[in-house]
Amino acid sequence: MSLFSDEHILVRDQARRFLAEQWCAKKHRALLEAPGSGDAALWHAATALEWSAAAVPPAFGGAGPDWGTVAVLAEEIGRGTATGPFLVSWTAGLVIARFGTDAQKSRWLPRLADGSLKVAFAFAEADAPFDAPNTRLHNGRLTGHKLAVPFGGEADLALVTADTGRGAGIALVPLDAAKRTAAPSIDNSRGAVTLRFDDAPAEPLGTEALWSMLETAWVLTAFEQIGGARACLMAARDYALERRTFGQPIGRYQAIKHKLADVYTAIEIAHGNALVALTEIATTGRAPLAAAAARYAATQAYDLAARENIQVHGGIGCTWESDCHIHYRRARALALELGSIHWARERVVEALCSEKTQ
Amino acid sequence: MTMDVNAYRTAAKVWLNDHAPKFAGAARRGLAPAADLALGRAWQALKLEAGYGAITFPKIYGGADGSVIEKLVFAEEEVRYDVPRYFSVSLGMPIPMLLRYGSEADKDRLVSRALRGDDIWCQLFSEPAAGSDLAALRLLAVRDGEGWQLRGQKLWTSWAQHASWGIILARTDSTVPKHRGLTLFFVDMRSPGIDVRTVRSISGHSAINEVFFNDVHVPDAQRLGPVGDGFRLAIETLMIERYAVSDVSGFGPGLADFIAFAKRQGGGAALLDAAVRQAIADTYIADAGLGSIHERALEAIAQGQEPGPEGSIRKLLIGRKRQRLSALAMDIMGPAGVYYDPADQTTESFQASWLEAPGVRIAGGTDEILRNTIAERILGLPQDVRSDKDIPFNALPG
Repeated sequence: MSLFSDEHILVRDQARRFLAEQWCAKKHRALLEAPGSGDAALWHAATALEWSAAAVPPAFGGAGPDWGTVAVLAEEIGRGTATGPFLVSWTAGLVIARFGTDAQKSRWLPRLADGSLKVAFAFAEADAPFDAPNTRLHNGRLTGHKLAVPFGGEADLALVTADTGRGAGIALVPLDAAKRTAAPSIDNSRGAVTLRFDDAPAEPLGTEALWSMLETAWVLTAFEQIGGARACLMAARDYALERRTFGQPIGRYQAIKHKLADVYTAIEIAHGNALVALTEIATTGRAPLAAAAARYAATQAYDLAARENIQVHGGIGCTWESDCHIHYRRARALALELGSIHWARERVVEALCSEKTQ
Repeated sequence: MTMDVNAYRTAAKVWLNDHAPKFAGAARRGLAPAADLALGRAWQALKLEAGYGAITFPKIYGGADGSVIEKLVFAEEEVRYDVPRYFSVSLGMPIPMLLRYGSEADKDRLVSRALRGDDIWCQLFSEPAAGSDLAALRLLAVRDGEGWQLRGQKLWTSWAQHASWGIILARTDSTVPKHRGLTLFFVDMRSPGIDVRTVRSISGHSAINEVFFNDVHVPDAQRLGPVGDGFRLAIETLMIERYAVSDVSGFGPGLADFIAFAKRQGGGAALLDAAVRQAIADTYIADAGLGSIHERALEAIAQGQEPGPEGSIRKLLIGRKRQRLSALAMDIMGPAGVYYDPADQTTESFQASWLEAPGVRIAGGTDEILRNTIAERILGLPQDVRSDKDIPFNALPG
């Protein structure tokens, strides 16, 4: 089964043009100096292109779920280091459509589809594993503290991991009742805030949604990471063709050629894993092994591509004015926001080595 | 993938399940070389009879007139068994070239014998001073009446010790730059003046050879393509098998074997080690990524399209993967990891696999050449400086 058709080539080309027009490194640098902020104009313009509709079923005003479009757009967002809660919006749409009650679907999906609702995914806590959060949901009220939530500043609704009394699950929490504090980070273009909930009104999406939410986010983010990695590879390639030392372009030296061949290899391996995971999660809503493998591979690829892009650029790559650090930051932010690579590795190894997988 | 391909795969699986075990694994263990070769010929003949021995070759020579996709699907299924592979070179490169460039009389006389496994063909390209830089080869073909005399040495020639015929790349003109003075021939390996000496590989096994040519006569009728066109034809030869199926483990123990092994060590303690877990995860993503790339290539071929260039990372990964897992398994064994029985198969023994792993990273394109190819052909970076490029071969230093 292929989730992609010729139509997706058009979607990709349109998205690439759109982001090139709407998003630029200058705007990006301004965000880097404004922790917790976002870019409402980009979100608005993308909504006009119906990006937000891609994951929501037609019954609720969407045009999906179109996994191919979501993956293609995620990759373009990564390539352009765009900001905004696009991936988490698609993830929420997919997960609410699968696990939500009829009332939840009617309430949230149309607003996700038309882009009037922005969401964030809040799971990280100081001292609690993913599936045993200290945040508690009790009698429709949520109490807890979540770290560095991307796009938490601009979001209207958070999908929050919480102890539901019947195990860890996802709670839907309108953010007007949350205390938000901007979280200065290595990549302030992620609009991260800490969220404090004190008896905030919330409703359970269910315990089954927990891993599906994470795995879906991992898979879509893998495409974003691959897009970012490809951008780094092309930037390094272009610079290697242009920059000359000792009488020839540096791209003629094997030290550079082999480095970039290794980056290419890591990206293609990541892409293969992402495609496998996308197909599986589109079919079943879960991909315990494949999603973790996709995250593990894509995180490695983007980190490698971002740091070697700077290396190829040399001194100029280390400056604020160069675009290299935009990817260097973004690669790390994406590597950490959804949990470290060690966690993904452990999920892969556990799935392969033990019969039981969550 | 169409239903036809699925049906073909299912039939191939059933057939292999019925027949391959008699030619693989325990059936081969401890066999003398001659007996293993005989087993290999019998396997090829049986496959041919069933329509699997020469899938893409014309029916008039005994082939099945099948599609490339059928060939790849069968190879994917066959690679699960460690059956003898003496004909992989024959049918992969020399015979397709003979079909393209040989005379009708030669094709009638030679092709069906090769498909049946009666004759093995080898490919005489590399030399001591011409490996990655194939065009630097020195073996001469000198005009000799109506034919040619071959003079020089080839190296790394797989199965030459069993071969009846070979295709050979020779220098016919030393007064022009190296790429332009080469010509392709085929040669009877039983000709007077040919001396095949087996080279023992690291593991002690002997599948490769050095071959000496002492004024060996070749009729001009056995020239393939025009004089001076040999380098282009050699590249064409090497491109034929671009999409060949190889085992993702690189014919070593696979990841599942490694995990099963690690589970048995120290009551599972080995599996708790972070380096072991990292290796498992790294190997898994490489295998899964290559699997996805391969699947997409098959889909492209099935639709009559060219597969994407990403298939070229395959060989770059499998050798290193096999080397790493094999060495790590031996590390887990500790001092007992040194034990090695030369009769062990590389698919079963980590020691045997480790001993032969370096060759996987060199034969058929070194890691370094493959990286160059990716950088130049896919990323568009410039070729390395080639100081010998436009200089006549006989004017080059050394």
